[in-house]
Amino acid sequence: MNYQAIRAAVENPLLTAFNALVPAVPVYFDNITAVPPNTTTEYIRVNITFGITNEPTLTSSVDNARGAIIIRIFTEKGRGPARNQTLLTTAVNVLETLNNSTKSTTGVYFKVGEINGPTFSATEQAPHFVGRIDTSYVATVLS
Amino acid sequence: MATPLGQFNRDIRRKIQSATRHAAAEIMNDLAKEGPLWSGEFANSWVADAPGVGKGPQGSYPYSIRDTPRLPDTVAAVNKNPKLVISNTTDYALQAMDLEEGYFRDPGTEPQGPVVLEGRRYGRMRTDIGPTEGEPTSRATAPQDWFVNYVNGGGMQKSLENGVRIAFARNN
Repeated sequence: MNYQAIRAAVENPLLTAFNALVPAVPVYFDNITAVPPNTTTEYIRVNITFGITNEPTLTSSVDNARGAIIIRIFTEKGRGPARNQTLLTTAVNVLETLNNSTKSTTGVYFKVGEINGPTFSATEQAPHFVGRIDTSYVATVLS
Repeated sequence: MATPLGQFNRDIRRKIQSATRHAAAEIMNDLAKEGPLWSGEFANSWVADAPGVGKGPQGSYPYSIRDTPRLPDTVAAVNKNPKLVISNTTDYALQAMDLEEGYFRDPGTEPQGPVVLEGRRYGRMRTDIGPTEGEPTSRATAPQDWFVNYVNGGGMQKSLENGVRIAFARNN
């Protein structure tokens, strides 16, 4: 099992997509504690979890894992949902692109499930408007 | 007097309702085990309600089928698909499930569950706790996104299967 390859298969396209925006939006992945010093600055958080690995009934391959991808979009509170939803669209487009991959003999074959959300929250104490989507995935390491 | 076929059909309907209740109990136990465990309030606040039938009793961990509402086993009720809605009754449930930001403070007591993360708080999500060179001031007792991972990572599906297996393995 190559968990890092699975993680990279999700993280790299997301990072590329948000870096390509003008201006680029910073993306923070698991175990990164840095947050923008200016708390109203917009940013993205991506968390990838692993659930069951090598479930025999999942596919004929034994080198597979399933889990969840959680994407949170932090934008300034009190400015409406438009900016947040624009960034969410970028994230959803990347997730949909993951499903376009074809199964070859090497690398990671990745399929995401239905996308839950977006849900929005803006709590009293927090300076951000938060949009959130999550989805399940099944990844097979082919090499 | 019920015909043998009628009795068989009724038994099947009871098994379906029983499987639903067993699966709900399995899931509530998993949620209690996977989620944050500090005072035990959150783990003991899972309930299963049956929409249109009634609220479930307020049980506590470990949950059993007795902590789920009885479901009618009539043909009409089973045809409507038995449904139980599991929720947590604490007012901080969304924050504890990492679905919403919140305000967190260490209560100063020792948690009942294992500490999986400790350090200095830097953000408003439950697990926004980073490293510190001094004494840790914040702790978490469940990994980030434990709830979404349980739902999407295969854990809940296993509990559903277990519930069905338990119900159909029983003689009554």
